[in-house]
Amino acid sequence: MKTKYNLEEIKCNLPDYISNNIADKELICSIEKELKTNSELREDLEELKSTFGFLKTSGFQVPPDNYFANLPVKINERIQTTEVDRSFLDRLSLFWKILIPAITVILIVILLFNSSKNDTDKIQTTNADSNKNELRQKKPEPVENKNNVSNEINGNDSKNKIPLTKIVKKDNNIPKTFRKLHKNNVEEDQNNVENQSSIKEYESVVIPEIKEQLSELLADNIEIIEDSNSDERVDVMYSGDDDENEVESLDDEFLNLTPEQQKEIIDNLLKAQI
Amino acid sequence: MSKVNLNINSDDAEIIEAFNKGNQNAFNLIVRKYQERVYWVIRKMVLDHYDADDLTQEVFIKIYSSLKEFRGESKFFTYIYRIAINFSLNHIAKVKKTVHKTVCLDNTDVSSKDKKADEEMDAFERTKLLEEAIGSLPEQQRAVFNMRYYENLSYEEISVIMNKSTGGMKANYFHAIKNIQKFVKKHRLSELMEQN
Repeated sequence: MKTKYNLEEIKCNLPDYISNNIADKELICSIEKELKTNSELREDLEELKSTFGFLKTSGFQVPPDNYFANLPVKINERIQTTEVDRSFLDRLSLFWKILIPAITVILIVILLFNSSKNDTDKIQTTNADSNKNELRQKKPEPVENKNNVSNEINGNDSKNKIPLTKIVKKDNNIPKTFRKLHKNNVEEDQNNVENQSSIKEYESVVIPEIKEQLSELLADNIEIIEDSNSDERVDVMYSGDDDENEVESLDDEFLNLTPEQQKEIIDNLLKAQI
Repeated sequence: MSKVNLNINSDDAEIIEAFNKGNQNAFNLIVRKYQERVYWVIRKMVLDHYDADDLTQEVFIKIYSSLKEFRGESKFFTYIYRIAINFSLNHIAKVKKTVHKTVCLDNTDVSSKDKKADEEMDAFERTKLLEEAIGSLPEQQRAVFNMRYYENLSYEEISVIMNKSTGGMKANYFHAIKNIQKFVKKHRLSELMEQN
């Protein structure tokens, strides 16, 4: 007759069977039935009984006599020490609770201040760029109409286009070098009226280039004026009152050069400024 | 009023309530009531008196700090037992102790040795063998064996403490006894071989 307990379950319950710790009568019956038929299980039972015998007769060494009398005192001492440590840690954590938010707020303020400063700088730079672009858009088409160009140079302008001489005169910050260069070019034009072919060649090649360069310089000049932080650059590039004598001597030197050499210097200057 | 009525035989719930109301004497009662059981639970797990002493103190410090969280869903001793077993298992895992250090704990043992030297030596050897046998058990088997054999806890209680199934606990107990049996058998055989 089969029971609801298998051999493995019966084996696992053998220790409790030996120590009479099984309440389930059906399980006890199953174990006893199995023990009658299964010799291996009987051997297991005998070995377990001898082990329990060994466990009963063996014990652990007892702690010192007054150990349990003194234990509550030791525990209370340790609790007090732990509480002191904890109160110190609590105070420390309170300190950090204040310090960490304070540091965070300071950092946020610094970051906000820096970001707003950067934004202002960016706005200034963008404004300068947009002014520069506007000026460049206004820049005349290179050598589309030779007559227009010569008119502009000579001050005989059409309605829509501003004569270059006026642009130069309007802006006091235009360096003397370039004003003189322009004047020189105009005078040269007038003196060489007879030589029409050379004038035409000059007008068609050199003047548009000079005009273009001057327009760019004007745009750069406006950018530099608007940028309040770049006073030094303005001084260096456009020579303030202190350096006026030195610049005049340089102007003279410049005017003594051939137009090709002048053009080359202007090109170099433009490249350096870029 | 509660201070006057409380004593070591008072109900756990009453003592805990008094402690939660700020009665410091209530905690001393808890210590006095459970210190021996907690010590022996730990001692049979870690096998060394000094380790057991230290862990017992730590268990009561833990109880002191977390007693307000005890909701009475299980028996108070089961709650203490769980803390003690967990502390012991953590300690065993930390130390990885497999061979027990035998320490002479009591000076009176030495004086009694003089009277019945052979018997005392035999008892000493047995104790040593028992501790080594228990020390050779895997951590979980050791915990289950101690709880079942020495503390006579039911498998249901053990399964709650160990957070494992009841069937698993039964199997652990059986295998723990079988392993002790093998260890003792092996030791006795080697002793016999040495004598021959």
